[in-house]
Amino acid sequence: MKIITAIIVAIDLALIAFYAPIEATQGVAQKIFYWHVSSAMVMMAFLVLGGVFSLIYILKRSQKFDALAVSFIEVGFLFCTAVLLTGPLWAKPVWGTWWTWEPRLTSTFFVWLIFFGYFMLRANLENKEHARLYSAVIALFGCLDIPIIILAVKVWRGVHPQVLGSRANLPDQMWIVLLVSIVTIFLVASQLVLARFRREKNG
Amino acid sequence: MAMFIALMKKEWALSMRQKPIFLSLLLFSSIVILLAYFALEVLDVKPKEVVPAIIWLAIVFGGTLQLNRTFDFERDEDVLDGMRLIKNIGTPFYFSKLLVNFATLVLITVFATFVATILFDYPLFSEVSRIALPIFLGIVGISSVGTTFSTMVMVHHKRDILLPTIFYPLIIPLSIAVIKYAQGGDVLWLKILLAFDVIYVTASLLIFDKVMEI
Repeated sequence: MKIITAIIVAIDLALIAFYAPIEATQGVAQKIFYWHVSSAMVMMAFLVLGGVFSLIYILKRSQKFDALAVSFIEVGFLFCTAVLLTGPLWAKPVWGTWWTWEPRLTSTFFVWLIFFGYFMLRANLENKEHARLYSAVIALFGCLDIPIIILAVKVWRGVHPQVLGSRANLPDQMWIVLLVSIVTIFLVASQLVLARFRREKNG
Repeated sequence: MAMFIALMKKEWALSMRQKPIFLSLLLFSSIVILLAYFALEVLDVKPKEVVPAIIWLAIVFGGTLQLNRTFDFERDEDVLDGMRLIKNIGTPFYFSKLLVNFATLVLITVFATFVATILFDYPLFSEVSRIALPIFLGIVGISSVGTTFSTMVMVHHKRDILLPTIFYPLIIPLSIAVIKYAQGGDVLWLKILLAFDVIYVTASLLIFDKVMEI
């Protein structure tokens, strides 16, 4: 499975580099969007999954669910970091600045901060049972906070025009590469979750 | 209810014994406002625009100090173990702590508003109807989340630094809503505040028993 994932990553990279057309106004910088968007999707899906598993852990107190929760949240957090890094990398050449208070970027940053707190608490509590339960509470509270953050930031910044349009605005070639990228990133992320889960289970 | 009243009597007795601490909390929040004044003096902004935000800053910082000492008396002498033996203590215990934190925050708010009004020459009487409601809802929000979170870090010797790192990110949307509405924003902000309070008071109540268990 690992080898297959590696091959698919290579294919996806090749597609992004050679197959996807260069965007007329943004140039090569736009190509980062394929992994940026897929990472954002992985981040959202995995953090919410982590929150759900945390809730199950709080109710059932079965270590398996804690292991699942921490694996999903850790990988989700990793991709959240990736989103926050690739966003400014794209924004610098295109918008001329590293950081703007664009609603989605801002929301992502706030979510990142919450889950940073999750790891801080988990690493700091010496009592493992406390660490598991309390970090699960943070994950749960954090997931409850996500919709509020998104709404608040949207209202605060004013609703911006869609940076990346719907399917109608994307040429077919870009659309294909984006789909392949989404599959690729999800595959890589799932591999990471699996590896992390095994490690957590074996202590 | 009888349990809640008994717990409140205990909290009242404990609070009366340590009045000097409240004094330091008030002093601390007025120092925050003073620092904000130094920082903003050069900007030449209108007091109406910045004062609600500065009051909120004083509440959050002063509030963190209060939240951190929520369980100061229960931590030692195995008081919590004794509490755990009482049936159905969770909800009244949580509400008693919530109420104490809330009342302390109200105290800080009133004092901070007073200091800010004087320092910034803020038209308090014409503005109070606008800032009172969002700040009230905001305080409910931070006390509900803060009380639960301080339960989780209370036994830890690094709680002073752990509480803000897990607590501040969560209340970011709350802070935005309070400040934006108090500065003259949309009614939508009040709805966001209300939603936040309802969600977190409910979630805290549901989770508090579990958190107390271990």
